[in-house]
Amino acid sequence: MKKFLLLLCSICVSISTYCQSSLLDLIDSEEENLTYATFKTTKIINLQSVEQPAEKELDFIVSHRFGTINSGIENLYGLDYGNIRMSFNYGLKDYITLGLARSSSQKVIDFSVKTKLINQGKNNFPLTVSVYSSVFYDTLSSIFAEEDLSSNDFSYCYQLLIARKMNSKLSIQISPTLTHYNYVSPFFDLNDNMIALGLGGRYKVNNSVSINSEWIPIISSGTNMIHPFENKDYINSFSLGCDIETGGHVFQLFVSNSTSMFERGFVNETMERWENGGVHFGFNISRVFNFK
Amino acid sequence: MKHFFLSLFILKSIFSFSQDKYISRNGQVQLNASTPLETINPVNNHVSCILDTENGNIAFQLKMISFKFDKALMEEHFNEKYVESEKFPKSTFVGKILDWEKVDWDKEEQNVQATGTLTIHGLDKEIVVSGIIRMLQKNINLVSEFYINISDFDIKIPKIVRDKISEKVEIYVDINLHPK
Repeated sequence: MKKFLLLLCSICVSISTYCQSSLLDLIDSEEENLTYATFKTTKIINLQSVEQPAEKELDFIVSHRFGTINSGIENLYGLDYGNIRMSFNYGLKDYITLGLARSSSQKVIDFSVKTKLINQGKNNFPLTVSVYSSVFYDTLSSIFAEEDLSSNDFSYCYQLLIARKMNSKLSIQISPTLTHYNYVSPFFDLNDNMIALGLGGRYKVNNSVSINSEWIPIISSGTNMIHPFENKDYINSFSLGCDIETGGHVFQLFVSNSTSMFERGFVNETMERWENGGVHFGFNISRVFNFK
Repeated sequence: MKHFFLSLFILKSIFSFSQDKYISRNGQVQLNASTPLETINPVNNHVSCILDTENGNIAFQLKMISFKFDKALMEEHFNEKYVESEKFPKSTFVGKILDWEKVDWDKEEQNVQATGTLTIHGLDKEIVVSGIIRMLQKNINLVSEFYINISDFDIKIPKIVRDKISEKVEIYVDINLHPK
């Protein structure tokens, strides 16, 4: 009996000391945490990432793609030629971005809207899902057209951005993409509707640098399914590069076989092949301005 | 008789578990690491705190990710690059208000000192801070202001932004505790 009492007493004492040592446990709480910084910037390389500028912030991106590396020393391995794209992306809300951009290749102006549907971590949802849609206006295209219709100058792209931050270093994204042409230039052997599957990812090397890569196989020409590895008709875009983040800028340096910087262009109209050395050096520089 | 004392003892320990504690889940902690080049003063309005009025033991806990900055990019860098919020999601302070028995419950406002362990970025540091304790009608208000050095917590600031972020960070704490 005495032993039993002693035991009870010691339990009581340990309960009351437990009380003090675990003050922290009493206020510990697990709330949901929204995943952030799935990618460093709003682009993986060419593909849009699920990142968006915050409300009342303007993300200004200057991009360059040079000529192909196999064009030889007389063209300084492609550096003699350059395409430029300037893009302004304004955060109307944290989850809605409006974008306006102009590319020098094909002199295309595009307008885009990116909307975040759900953020990873919300109600423990495992993915971040956004919708990206853009409309392209070709200021140059209709010279080949048989009829001079202004609607021929427009083409559209709809993209679902499905991303998951696997851990603090690795993020992956899948982007089913539908492109619609009102008029396909005879220069390209394409159908009106093209479907591609963008695959991208990043791996953080340290807190300021990450390695990025993306591959965008065309999987359907509207009517036929296309095998991503055995397709002879279309060239799939593949890019490899790195993000370098300094205080206010993100520099993305990479090589890619695509030269266009707008969705329709790099998804469907890629002309060069990696195996022939048809690779372009390129960069994106992103700078965020605050209007709060 | 023995049993009576025993049950008293048990009752007491159970009561001390639930009573005598003041708690808050929406305290405020404000940081100030501003320099002439950049204003950096994020606020966290979801700070948890518990005070044991029996002995003056006190504990704070906050989530680093709950600090809100004016600039979204700054907030991302704070979490991603500096305090590494995914690896070290919480900061805590566990300590004791010194001379707790001398604290006068009838006095409206008095200066106190607290000592304990501050844990940020996974690193512990013993600190002594002074503050003010106010006895309100039902609640207890704690206010304190102190400084920490970023380098004490192994938070690395790249050279390129070192001029923009103050090495000495002012921490301002304001908590309203209510009975648990």
